[in-house]
Amino acid sequence: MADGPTLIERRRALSLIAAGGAGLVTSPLWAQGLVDLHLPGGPSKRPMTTAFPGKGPMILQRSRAPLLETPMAAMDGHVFTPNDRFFVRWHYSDIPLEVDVHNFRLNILGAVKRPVALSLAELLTMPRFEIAAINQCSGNSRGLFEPRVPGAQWGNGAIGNAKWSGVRLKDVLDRAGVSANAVQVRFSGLDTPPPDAPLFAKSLDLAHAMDGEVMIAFQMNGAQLPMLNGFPLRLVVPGWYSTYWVKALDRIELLDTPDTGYWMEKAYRIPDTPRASVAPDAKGFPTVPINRMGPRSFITNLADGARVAANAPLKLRGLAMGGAAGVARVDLSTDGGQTWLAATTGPDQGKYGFRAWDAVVPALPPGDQKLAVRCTSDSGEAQGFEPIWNPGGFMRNSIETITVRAA
Amino acid sequence: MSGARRFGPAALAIAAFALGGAALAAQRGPAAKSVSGGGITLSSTTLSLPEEKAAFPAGAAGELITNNCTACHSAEMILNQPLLGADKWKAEIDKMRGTYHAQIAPEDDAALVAALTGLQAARP
Repeated sequence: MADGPTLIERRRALSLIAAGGAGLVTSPLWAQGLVDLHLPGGPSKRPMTTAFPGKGPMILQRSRAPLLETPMAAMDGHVFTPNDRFFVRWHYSDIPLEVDVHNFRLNILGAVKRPVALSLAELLTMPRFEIAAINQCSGNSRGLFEPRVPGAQWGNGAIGNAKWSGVRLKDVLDRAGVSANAVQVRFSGLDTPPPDAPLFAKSLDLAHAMDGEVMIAFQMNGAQLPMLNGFPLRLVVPGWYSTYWVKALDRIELLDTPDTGYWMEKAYRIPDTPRASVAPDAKGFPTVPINRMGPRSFITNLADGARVAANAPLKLRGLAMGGAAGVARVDLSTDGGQTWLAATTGPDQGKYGFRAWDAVVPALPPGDQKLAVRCTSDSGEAQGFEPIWNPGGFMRNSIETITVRAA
Repeated sequence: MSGARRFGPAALAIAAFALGGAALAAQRGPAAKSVSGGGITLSSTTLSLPEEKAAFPAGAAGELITNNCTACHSAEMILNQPLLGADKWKAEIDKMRGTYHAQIAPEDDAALVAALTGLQAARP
């Protein structure tokens, strides 16, 4: 821990301050390379960046540790989010910058009969499966909370869907032999915390880990994972928030008592209340670790504020998800939810993935018009208009409404 | 390497360069670059992160925030926060120091909270 790099870093940052300054700005947002996320109260504008290797144009939320948001327009027209537009979220700045596929080992240890260290070559010989699954940050859409809460100020784009290929976690655990006293499985990766900070590690109950759906993935959408999305291995926990989808996974520890680490016991906890919602002044409510996702739906072919033709039918399309269940139906409303029009849903590519939808809404009169989209899941859970609030800014899945100007 | 990587993009770029493909290829030969099985090939990869561009406004307050907060994360994390108020900024400082062991001297807290709230008050 020499001081040198810190001082160099500080000098560099100070020189940036000197060179910086917002300047006078009169050109439109797109010409400045900015995007407006419409976050209530702001700040709402973010730069677009193409500076991250393997990534196309992304919304820059934070350069270190990287937080890159997928623009909604990049999700338009595909059920599977392209790897080069898939959102990126790391907690600590010391992220893996180099992986040698021959030296890499996945270690399985703890309450096991025989600890094993699997090479990638060994993993590639094991039985495989594929699954379509949505990876959504627990705090996706946090920037839309009212009142606002601290944390990564995402719009709706900390989400993506991919077809994942890999091996069953169960099969890997069986290679080590789970001991009879194991109760949870803890996962961590190649990212390392600052000195004395807690290792980023997340745990699943043993029964969940052994359910045959949880995957150790080595491909997404038919290609190896981008480094920024967790090369060479990533845990895939279908239907659950991405905090459990540990990136650059290299350590799996069987625990004989529940995980009491910071990232399970203190962070990523939600109120144990309906829809994980509480009043903004609530105190002392019970909490549980965040877990399953709920239904969500988005219009992808029109942005908030778009101009559309009045007095003509309007084509809408987008994506929907059921969360931990499939999509049963998608409905549109142009009157604030008084009446609903059923959308047509596209092919079902797996209950944990996005489902495409499209609809034609009747001619809109001139003026500002609100378009709302609602998903109902196969388990009967429907999105509602009521906002969700909790201090972590987690679990938002209320109905999204955009305003278009018909003229 | 793991120590150097913690200190930001300049150090990151140097580390990535030092560990880059040429040296490794010379040691292990071209065969070390990928593994295959069952029709899938995984190839060794490196990542070089871009330089940070965001910074705090010039002046003593900006310097204080830079020195206390940017060892672990870049400036956008603070610049993008909604209006938080002094109590919430103090809670953030306590969390960064308590949980993540950020090197923030407690005697700087009052000035740091003032700098952070001042930064937000000056926003358009």
